[in-house]
Amino acid sequence: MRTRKNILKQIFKVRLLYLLMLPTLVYFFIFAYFPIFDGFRISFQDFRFVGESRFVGFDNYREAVQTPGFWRAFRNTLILGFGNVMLTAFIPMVLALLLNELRIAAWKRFTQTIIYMPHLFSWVIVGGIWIFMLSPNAGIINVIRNLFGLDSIYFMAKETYAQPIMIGVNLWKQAGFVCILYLATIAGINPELYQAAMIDGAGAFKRVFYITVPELLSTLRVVLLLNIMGALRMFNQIWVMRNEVIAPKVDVLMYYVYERGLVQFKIGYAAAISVLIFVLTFIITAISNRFIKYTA
Amino acid sequence: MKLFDKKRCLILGLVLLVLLFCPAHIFAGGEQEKEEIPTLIWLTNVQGGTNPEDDLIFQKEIERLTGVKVKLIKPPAPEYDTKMTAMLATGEPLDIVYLLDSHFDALWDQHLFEPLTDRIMSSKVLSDPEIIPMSEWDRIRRDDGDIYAVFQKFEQGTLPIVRADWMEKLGFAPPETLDEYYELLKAFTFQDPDGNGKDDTYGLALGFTIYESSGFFGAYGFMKGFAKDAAGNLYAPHATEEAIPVYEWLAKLYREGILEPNFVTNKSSNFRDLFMTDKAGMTCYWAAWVGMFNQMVKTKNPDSPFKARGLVPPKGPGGRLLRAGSDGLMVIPKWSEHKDLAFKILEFWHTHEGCVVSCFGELGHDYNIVDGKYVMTEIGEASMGQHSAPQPKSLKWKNPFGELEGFDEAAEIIRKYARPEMVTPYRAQWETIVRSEAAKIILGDISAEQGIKNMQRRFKEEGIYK
Amino acid sequence: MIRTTTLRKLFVVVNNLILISLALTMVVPLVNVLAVSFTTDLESYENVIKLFPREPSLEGYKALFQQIAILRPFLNNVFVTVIGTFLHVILCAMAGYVLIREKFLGKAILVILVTIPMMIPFEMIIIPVYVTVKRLGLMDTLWSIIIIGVVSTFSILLMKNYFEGIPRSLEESAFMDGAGELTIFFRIYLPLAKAGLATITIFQFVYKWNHILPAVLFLHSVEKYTLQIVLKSLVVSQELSGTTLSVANNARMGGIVFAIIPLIVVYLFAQKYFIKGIMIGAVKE
Repeated sequence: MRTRKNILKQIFKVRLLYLLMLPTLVYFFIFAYFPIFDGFRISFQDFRFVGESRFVGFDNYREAVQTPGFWRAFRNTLILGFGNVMLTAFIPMVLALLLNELRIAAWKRFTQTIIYMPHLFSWVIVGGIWIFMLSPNAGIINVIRNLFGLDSIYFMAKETYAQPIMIGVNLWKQAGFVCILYLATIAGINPELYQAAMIDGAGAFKRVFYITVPELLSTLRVVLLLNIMGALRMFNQIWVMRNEVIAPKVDVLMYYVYERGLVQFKIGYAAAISVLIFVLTFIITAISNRFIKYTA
Repeated sequence: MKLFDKKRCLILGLVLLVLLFCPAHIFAGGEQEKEEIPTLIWLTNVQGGTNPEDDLIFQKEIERLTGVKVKLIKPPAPEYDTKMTAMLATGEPLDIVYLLDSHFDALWDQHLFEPLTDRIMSSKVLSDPEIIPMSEWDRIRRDDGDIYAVFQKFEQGTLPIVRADWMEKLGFAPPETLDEYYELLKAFTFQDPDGNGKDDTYGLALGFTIYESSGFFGAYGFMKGFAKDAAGNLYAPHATEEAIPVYEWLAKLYREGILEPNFVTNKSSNFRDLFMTDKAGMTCYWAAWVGMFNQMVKTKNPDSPFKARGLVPPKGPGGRLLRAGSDGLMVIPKWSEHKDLAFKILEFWHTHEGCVVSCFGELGHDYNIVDGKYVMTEIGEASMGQHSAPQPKSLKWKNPFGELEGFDEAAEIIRKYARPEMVTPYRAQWETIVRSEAAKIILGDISAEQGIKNMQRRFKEEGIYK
Repeated sequence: MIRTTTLRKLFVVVNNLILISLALTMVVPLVNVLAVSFTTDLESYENVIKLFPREPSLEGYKALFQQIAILRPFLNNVFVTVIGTFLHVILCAMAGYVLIREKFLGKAILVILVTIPMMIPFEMIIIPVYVTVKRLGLMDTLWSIIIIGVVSTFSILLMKNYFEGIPRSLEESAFMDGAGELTIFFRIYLPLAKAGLATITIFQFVYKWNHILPAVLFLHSVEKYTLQIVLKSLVVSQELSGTTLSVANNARMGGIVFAIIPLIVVYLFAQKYFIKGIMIGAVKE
C-alpha cells in the first residue's frame, strides 16, 4: 500500500511534465504504435477488403522470402543504403573543410547557401531536374561529352549507371545539409587550439588534420546514424526517378511494399514485408549504434 | 519579461489572422451529414473538368441534367490506383467508381461490386443495341453470368500518327510495310523535313508506355498482353522468338538516330510535344489525338502547315493489327446507399445529353445553343473535348460540331484493325517485364535473343509461367 | 616560407574552382527552370538548357493561374504548412523540455516511447494510418495533413539537446522564486532557445511544404488539394487514358518556381539562427 501511494505521489509531483508530454504520446500511439500493430496483425492474414480476412499464419512471410523480387529489393536497399550512408557522410566533410578555407565571409556564406538549396526542394523537383540534366540529347553532361567528340550516354536507361546515379543525386540533394552540420562543429572549435598549434609550428594542413578532423568525428557519428535511418526509409527518390529499365537495380524495399500493396493489391503480403523492414531497421540501428559508439 | 510583449502579440495576431481567413471548409468534418437529397460520391480520374474549378461546374451540370447531386473525387492520375485501393479497402462511402479493366479484374473476386445485369437489361438506354450492342456487354460479363460494370466511353486505340505535310513534301506515299516505314522515318530524320536547315528532327518519337502497342508488333500478329497456347497456358507473344525481327527493327531505328533517344524516360507529354513542335515526323498515340494535335497547333499558329494524320499500320506476315484501348469501367460498390441514383448516372452517361457533357462540357460554360445549334465558347475551344471522352460509347452519337480534323479517318483505322488485349490480372507485370527488356534490346545493351530469354525467366519468377 | 605561400595561393584557386563548379550544378538547373517559365509556349518546347528566355512572356503563368487554377492549392499549402509547423514547434519543444529533467518516475519509458517511432516511416504504415484518419473523422480535411508528422522524434531530441545547453543556474533561481514548471518552460527556456526553435521550424516547414503522400491519400475534394498534388501531376504526369490535361513546359516550370520560392524565402530569413541552432542542437550529443 505504501509503495503505491508513493508512486502516485511521485507521479503527482511531476504531473506537469506528463502533461507537457501528453500530446506527443497521444500522437505516437495513434499514428505510429497502433498502425504498426495493425500492420503486424494484417501480415498474418490473407487480407480481403470486404468480409472476413482469413488467418494464414506465416504464409505471407514464407512467400516473401521465396520471391526473387523481394531479395532483389533487399540487395538494392543494402547497396544504395551503404553508398548513401558513406558518401553522404564523408564527402560533405571534405566540402566543409574546403568551405572553411574561404576567407571572405560573404562569399563563404553565399556558397554555403547555394549548396544547401537542393535540400529544400521536394524529390519531385529534384528528380525532374536530374532526369532532364542526364538526358541523352539535351542534358548538360552529354552536351559536354559531345563537345569533346564523345557519344551521348542514356544514363537513366542503363542498369550500370542506375545505382551510382541514385547515390549521386541523393548526395547532391543532401550534401549541403550535412555540410552545415560539420561547419557548425568547426565554428565551435576553440580558436586557442589553433593558436597553440601555430606556435608549435604546425602548417595549415597539419592544423586541419590534427585539430579540425578529430573534432569532427563526434559529428560524423551523428551524421552516420542519421544517414542510416534515412537510407532504410528511402522511397520518394525512387518513386520519382525510377523507370522500368533500371527498376531491377533501384527498387528498394519501401518501394516494393508500395508496389505490392497499393499497385497490385496484395495487402497482407505487403504488410508482412513492412514488418520485416521494421525488424531490419531495428537490428541495423541497434548494431550500428553499438558499433559507432565503440569506435568513437 | 511581460507575458504579452509586442512580439508575442504580433505572432498571436498573425496566427489568429490565418485561422480567421483560412477557407471555411477546412473546419468542415469529412463525414457529411445526411441531407434530404443525397450527394453521390463519384471517384474517377477521367471524368469532370480540367481543374478543380471546372469540376465544380461539371457537378452542377450533372445535377441540372439528372437532378442527382454528385461530388467528384479526382485524384491526380499517377496516384489514382493508390487512392482507389485505399478508399475501397476501407469501405469509404463511394457510389460510383471508375477503374480500368485490369483493376476491375484484380478486384472482382473480392466481391466489392454490385451486380448490374438486371438493371442494365431493364434500362431503355443501356439495353438498346443501337447504343451498345449485346456483344460488347458479353465481353465484360463475368464467369458467374453477371455484368458488374458500365462502359465509360469508346476506348479507341493507338495507331501511328504521321506528319502528312512532311510526307507529301518529301514525296512519300503512306507506307505499307515495316521496310517502307523505315524508309519514311529515315527521310524524316535526315532530309530536313521542316526545311530549317538544321539537323534537328527525328523520325519517330515514343514514350515508354506506348512502344509495344504501336502496330509494329501487329505486323507479326502480336497483341500486347497474354494469349493462351494449345494447352491453355498463358504466354506473352512479345516474349517469343518470333518477335525478334520487330525488336531488331526498333533497335536499328535507335542505332541510326531515327528514334528519338529519350524514349525510356519520356512521359506522354514529352513525345506529344516533340511531335507538335516539328521535332518528330511520327509518333504512336490515341486516335483522338490526331484531331487534338491539329487543333492545338492551329490555335497556336494558324499559318502552320502542320497536318497530322493516322496511318494504316504496317502489313507483315501476321497481317495488320492495332491494340484497342482497355475498357474504362464504372462500377457501383456494394455498400453504396444510393444504388438507384448511381445507376441513373451511369445510364445518363450514355444518353445524348450525357455524351454532350462527356465530350464538350457544360452548357453556358463550354458551349451554348444558339437557334438549336451548338456553338463553342472560348473556354470550350481551349479545353476541347477534355471532359473525358473524345468519343462516347453510344453508337447513336453524332458529333454536332463535326469531328476535329483527321479524327474520322483515324477512328476508321482503329475500327478496322484494333482488337482489345486479353484481360488478365497480370497486366502490370507484363508491362514491367516486356517493356524493360525491350528497352534494353532497343538500346543495344543486350541482343534480342537474350532479351527474350530474360523475359521468359522473369515471367517464371513471377509465377505467371508454369 | 615562399613555397608555402605559393602552395597556399594554388590551393585557394583550386578550392574556389571546385566550389564554384559545384555551386554551378545547383544554380544552372534552377536558372533554367526560371528562364523556361518565362518563355512563350512555343519556345518552352525547345529541348535545351536555357539561361534566359528569348522572348520573355507570361503565357506560362497565365495558364498556371487560369487553366490550372494554382492559387487555391497554393493557399491550402500555405495554410497546412504554417499551422502544422507552428504546432510542431510548440509540441516538440514541450516534449524536449520534459526529457531534460533529471530522473523522474517513468522517464526511461518515455525516452523509449519517443525514440522508437523514428524507425517507422510513414510510407510503411499507409493503410492502417488511413483507417485511423478515417475513424477520427479527419478524412478529407486539411487537419489530417496538418496532424501527420505534428511531432517527430528528431525535433524532440534536437530541442532536448538545445535545452541542455542552457545554464541550469537561470532555472534554479526561478525555482527559488517559486516559479512552476510551466512558467520556467515558457519564460526561461523558450525565449532562450530561439536558434533551436528556428532550426526545427525550417526542418518542419520544408517537410510539410513538400510532403505529398498524405495529401494524395487523405484529401478527396478538389478544392482542398495542396500544391504538391497539383505539381506532381503537372511535372511528372503519366496518364494512361486517351485524354489528358495539356499544358506547355513554361507552365510546368512556373509550377516549380511557385513551389520553391516560399522555401527559399523562409530559409534565407531564418538562416542565421538555423546554423547556430544546428550547432548546439544536432551536433552536440
